[in-house]
Amino acid sequence: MASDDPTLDDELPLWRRIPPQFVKDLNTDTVRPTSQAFQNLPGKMAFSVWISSVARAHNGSPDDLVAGHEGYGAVEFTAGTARELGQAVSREPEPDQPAHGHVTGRKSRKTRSEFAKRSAWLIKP
Amino acid sequence: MQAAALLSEADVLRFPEGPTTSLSIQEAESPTWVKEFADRLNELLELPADWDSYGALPVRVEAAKGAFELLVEHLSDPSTPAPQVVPTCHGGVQVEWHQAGIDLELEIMSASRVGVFFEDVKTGEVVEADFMRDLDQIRSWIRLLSR
Repeated sequence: MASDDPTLDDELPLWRRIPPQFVKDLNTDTVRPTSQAFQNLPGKMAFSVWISSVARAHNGSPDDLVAGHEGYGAVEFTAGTARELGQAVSREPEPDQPAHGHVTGRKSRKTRSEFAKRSAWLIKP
Repeated sequence: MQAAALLSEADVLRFPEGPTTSLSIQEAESPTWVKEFADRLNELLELPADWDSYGALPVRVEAAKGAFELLVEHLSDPSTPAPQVVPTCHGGVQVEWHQAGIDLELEIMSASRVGVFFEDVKTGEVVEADFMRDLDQIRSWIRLLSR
């Protein structure tokens, strides 16, 4: 399991792209991502995020996170929220995306539900 | 015909294996959302690999069939509210309700493999299970949605 990066402050926002299939209409004026939007990648113990401070340092924005993904939304939650839910937060830069990171750990159904409830929309689908 | 399922004029959910695996909707005894539910399952079966841009697997026929069987054959009391239906990145289907202070999610990989998450925000009760076979328990939770 990736170790938690203490240089990523608890207050630091993490961004995650949400496909339109993961959005629920709650029969009110609100929409919410489903808990399934916070499931680990197939075969891995982590899901991907963008680390906002790194993205901003490279002039990146939430709009860039969804660029090329029609109909997608984006949410944010803090690194501290991820840690409260028993997860490790780490930098996992990729050649074309220095802001890429991982939220690593077992995600129970309750954990995934909490991610859904504690996330805030940056871009609504 | 495409590989994914199609809903026919006769309100039948059909799967790629052919008509022997189709499941009929008993309209007279079913809630009003059943046809919409079948349509949604057929939509999910059309999703390609990586439909979430993070490497998601396509929805498995066994999962859609299991969801249909569970909801329509076992949990479709006329008072059952319409569920939200979403795919899972591991090839499953999740049906869920969030109302009356209840969060109820059924993650279906097949008819015999159903995971459950239940939370009553009023009482604080939380139940999680990777394999849930107690349909009476699920029915009792569904009834809470209308309280």
